[in-house]
Amino acid sequence: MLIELNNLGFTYMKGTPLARIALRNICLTVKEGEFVGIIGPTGSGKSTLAQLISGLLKATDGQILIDGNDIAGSGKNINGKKKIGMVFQFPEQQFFETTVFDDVAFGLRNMGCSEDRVASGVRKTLKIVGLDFELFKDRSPFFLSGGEMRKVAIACVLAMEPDILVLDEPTVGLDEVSKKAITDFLTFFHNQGKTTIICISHDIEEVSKVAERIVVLDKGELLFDDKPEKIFLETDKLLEIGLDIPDAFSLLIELNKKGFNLPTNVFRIDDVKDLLIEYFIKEQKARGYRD
Amino acid sequence: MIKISDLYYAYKVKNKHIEALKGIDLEIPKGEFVVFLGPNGSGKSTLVKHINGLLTPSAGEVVVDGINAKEDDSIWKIRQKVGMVFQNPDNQIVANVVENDIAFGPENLGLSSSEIKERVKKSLSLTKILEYSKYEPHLLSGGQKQLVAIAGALAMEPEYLILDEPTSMLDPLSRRKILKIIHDLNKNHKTTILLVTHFTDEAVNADRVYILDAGRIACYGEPRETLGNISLLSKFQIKPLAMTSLAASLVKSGIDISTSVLTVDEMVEELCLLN
Repeated sequence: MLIELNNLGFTYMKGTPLARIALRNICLTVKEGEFVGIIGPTGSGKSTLAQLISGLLKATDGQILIDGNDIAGSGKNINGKKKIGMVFQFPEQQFFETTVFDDVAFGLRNMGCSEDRVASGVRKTLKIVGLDFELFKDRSPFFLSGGEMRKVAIACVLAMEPDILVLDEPTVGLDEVSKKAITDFLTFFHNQGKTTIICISHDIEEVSKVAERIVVLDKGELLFDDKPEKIFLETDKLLEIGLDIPDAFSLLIELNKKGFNLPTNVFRIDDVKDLLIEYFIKEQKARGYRD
Repeated sequence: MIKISDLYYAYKVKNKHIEALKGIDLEIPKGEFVVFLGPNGSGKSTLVKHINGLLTPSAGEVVVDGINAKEDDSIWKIRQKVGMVFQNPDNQIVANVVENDIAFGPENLGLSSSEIKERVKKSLSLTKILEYSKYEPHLLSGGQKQLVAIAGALAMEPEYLILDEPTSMLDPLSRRKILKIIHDLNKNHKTTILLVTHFTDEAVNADRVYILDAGRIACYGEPRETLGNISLLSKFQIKPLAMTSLAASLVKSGIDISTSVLTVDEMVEELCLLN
């Protein structure tokens, strides 16, 4: 599904003395099956944007078109919501059933699916998030590891087979092992299907590992929209607005300041490693010849 | 000095005893900056909660400046010495104006109002939030709220400050700010800092790093001895610093540099030596 944001804006408590502009003039197109990371410091409007795309907030300016339909329109609004799944921050805080099966089934049952359809849907979704159906279906969602809980919470949304998946800080508060489990899952899920994924985060390094495109927001405005390696070239601006640069990328920049002449089109630690190895092996050979 | 000897702690879930701490021995001299790392469930939070008497040992001793946390009447003395800040600032803020929230602790100590005002002002300036003193805390960002929580703890003038994952819900800028403030406290005010964290990079400038695993201290040492040891970290599911893991793979490929590189600057230095 194609998402188009046209001059989208949102003002909290518009028309009151307490009005506060959260987003202004956002223009953005996300193609079907694309994986876009939305990055920005606290207060940049990321979460507001996620809620607008999910139809939880109504735009105060501009419009959001999904496959050409304005989601603010009456009936279509509800239609839109079914196609868009939103995973909130700390989604495991929303568990309320006694078993993993019932929690994941909740959405399907609400959609009026038959129990057969519910069972096959839950089985399929748990498989997608990488949890064994037989092992997990009867366990309490409240007594799982942090990473497993987060996966079950994502499964609750995925069960409804949304065309667009919006995730708000999907790895926040998890330890390294669970974080990796979630990013691995997102990569796998993205490569597998044609679900459009929009992932909100303030961890630019982590999102750039999985997203094809990064949108940077600052103070409610769209600052950059490009491939991750292009975004990192804006080092000074990113640091200024309070974002981090991956150490591997800073290393390349710092080395170039010292007279190295390294390309700066990579940022993943493994790519930087290959680059340095190639550089130094060549260097050593060149020296070998000279000697 | 904090002295913990042979500390055990077990809690009960559905009639089953689960051992969270299995024999912890450690000594933290006054003025140190100590970081606790370890995977989820390794016992980091359980351990630090013993130090200001939030939990009582199942066995073993916790002694702060010669006061044993086990004795009922000593707990209040210990809590005046040991301040604590938790992960989620929303759970720690009690008042509806920032300066009132920070005054809450000193008010309960029964201090004079001039002394309370003095302490509030001092805590606000240490945490660099003087400008928010009249704000309602719920209108602040997560990072600002966490600073209010830290200021609230500082108003008690603790000699020891425990921070349990204070930055895990914050963005990088707020994280850097808070790290700087606690390092300043340690350096300029000699406050002993005990920091529990998931972020390996927050341990780089510590005096000592403790790695916990399954309720035990798996190892401890200076940052370079612990964080610089890749095989040790992977054993306890701790993400090595980007530069340390890069150094390890470069060495494997025959590039002759030190393997215990921690920061970008150190890596630049090592590589410049080669060039």
